[in-house]
Amino acid sequence: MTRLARANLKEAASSLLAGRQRTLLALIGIAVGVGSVVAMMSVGIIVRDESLSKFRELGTDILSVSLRYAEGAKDRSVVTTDDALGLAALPTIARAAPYVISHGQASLAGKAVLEVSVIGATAAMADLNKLKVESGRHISDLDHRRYFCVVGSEVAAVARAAGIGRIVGESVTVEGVVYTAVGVLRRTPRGMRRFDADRAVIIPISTARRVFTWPEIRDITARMSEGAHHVAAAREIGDYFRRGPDGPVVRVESAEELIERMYEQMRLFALLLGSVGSISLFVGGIGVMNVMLVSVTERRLEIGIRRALGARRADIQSQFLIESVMLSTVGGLIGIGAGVAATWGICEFTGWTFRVSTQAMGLGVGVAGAAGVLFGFSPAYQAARLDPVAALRGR
Amino acid sequence: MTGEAGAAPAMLSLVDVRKSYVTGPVAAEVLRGVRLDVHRGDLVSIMGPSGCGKSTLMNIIGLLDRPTSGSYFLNGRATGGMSDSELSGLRNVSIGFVFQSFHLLPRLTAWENVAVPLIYRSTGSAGMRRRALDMLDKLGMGDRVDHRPAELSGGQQQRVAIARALVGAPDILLADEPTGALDAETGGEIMRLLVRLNEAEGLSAIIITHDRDVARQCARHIRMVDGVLSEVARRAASAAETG
Ligand SMILES: Nc1ncnc2c1ncn2[C@@H]1O[C@H](COP(=O)(O)OP(=O)(O)O)[C@@H](O)[C@H]1O
Ligand SMILES: [Mg+2]
Repeated sequence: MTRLARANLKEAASSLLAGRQRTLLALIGIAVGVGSVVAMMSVGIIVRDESLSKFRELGTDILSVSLRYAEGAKDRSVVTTDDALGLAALPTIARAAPYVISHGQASLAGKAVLEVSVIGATAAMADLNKLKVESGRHISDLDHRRYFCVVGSEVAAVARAAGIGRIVGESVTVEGVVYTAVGVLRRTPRGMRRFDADRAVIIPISTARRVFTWPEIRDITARMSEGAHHVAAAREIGDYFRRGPDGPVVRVESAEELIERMYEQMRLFALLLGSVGSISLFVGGIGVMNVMLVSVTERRLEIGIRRALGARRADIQSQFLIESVMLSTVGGLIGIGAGVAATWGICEFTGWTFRVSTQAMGLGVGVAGAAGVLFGFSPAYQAARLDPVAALRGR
Repeated sequence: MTGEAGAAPAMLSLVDVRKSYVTGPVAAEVLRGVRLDVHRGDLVSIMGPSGCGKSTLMNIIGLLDRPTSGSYFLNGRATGGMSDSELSGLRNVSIGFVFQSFHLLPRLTAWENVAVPLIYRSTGSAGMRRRALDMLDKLGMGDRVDHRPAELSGGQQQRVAIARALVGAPDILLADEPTGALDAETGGEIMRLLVRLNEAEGLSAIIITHDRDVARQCARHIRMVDGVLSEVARRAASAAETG
């Protein structure tokens, strides 16, 4: 087989090149088909990885609650810190960490300056967000209304680059307010959070609500009680904040829900790619079959000659099968490129982390080869069954 | 390989071979009881009017076709019951075909064309190129091994085709009007080449021809009329008998 393959390869390539337009059409079909298959599988793998990492980062039991107030909402309808902390009393909620968020310029010891998120938080924030200190301590509930802060790793790195050796105890000025640093955070992947902890300055929520222009609590991170379902929790939270027409609009997101949404998106892509892919593969396969049928017809004399020289039917059959597999494999290789590109595009669109999956590429090669065998079989069989005498006579 | 042709068992033996084609309502019988014995070292010419069945006979001898009835023994073995695959294998080792219009594969070079029969051997590809080059050299084509058929003259193409027929050391060479597509001079050269191979190396061959001069150069001269053969001349000049 390999001996035959090598001997026939050149012959096959030049014969395929001879029928350029037909070959091109077949190649495009197979390429689009294989590309879709590769993209479909890649997206599946990426979504699986993405959801696994989301679970790992935050756990399945974390909810992110956001509150939106109608313009000119009455004061009494605004949620207080204690209201938010009160969520923990709900049967489905174990712990709640309300926070307020603002943005501004931070300067450290009057030297380093950078853009940061300022987070007013309770002690629960560090726990629910899995934040860890590298030095110093977290904000505690005893820091009530005090001007203390914990800085993110990137903030610390900028400070160190500016020659500030020991950050704890240093003063940090944000938008004209001076805080004393009590801790430095470790690097933290962003995950589902609304802010980048590495570029954050965390202060007590009580302080933040005095300092910020917009002190309303709009965000709460909550952990569900064991065994609670995110849908039930969302319903309870909605009920808890229901305060008449001026009350906040409540939205609850969970890792589970995000992942569910991601899978839903993936299923949509899979459906699209699956249908485009199978249609293209079929069209490409028919193209391959057509190319091969023409090739067999054009090369009847060659077949007759080879038979006269001692080629068995099986030899002729494998010669033409090799040719069709070659054709579809070339299409498949192009398709792998297209599939990787499509996957990249989908990741750009959805914000998923792009990566190249060798499994998907392997599947692409396999699908292409299989299409070559499947659609090349009938022409190859016809070639093998030709009567050598008739073939030699050119009939 | 001594003594008279009749004494040793024939290498190739056709007994009452008939072939008919069913076209339309009646079956036309093209071969009507052909008898033929060919011995190792025989150089046989067959002449006959166009359409009398010479090529049909050649295809049967070459195992490309099967007779409608009758028997064909090659090296003492009956070929009648053999499978297509067995026939292909036997064709590969025992038969060397030379065609009127050369039938080289246009996309392959001369040496690659010559090597094609070796591809279909189960003995592996070792020395395939070497053997092809040696054979081309022997037939005076050593300086054209990398040429494609289109870059060769008719006579040169036929030499390559003969090299291809002989590269596998077949028992018999079957040439169906090998000079038919060549001018008289080139045809004469090809014929002399075959005669020389017969005389010098004991090559066995059956040559179909329309050319009386070609036929005269062969030790055995057979006429085909109405689907049967009749031997018109037999000289004791074949390699087996002179050697
Ligand atoms: N496949 C076939 N079907 C029907 N008739 C055929 C077939 N092959 C050959 N013949 C007929 O058999 C006769 C002998 O053909 P052929 O052997 O080619 O003659 P030659 O080679 O002597 O010119 C012709 O009349 C031809 O038409
Ligand atoms: Mg003929």
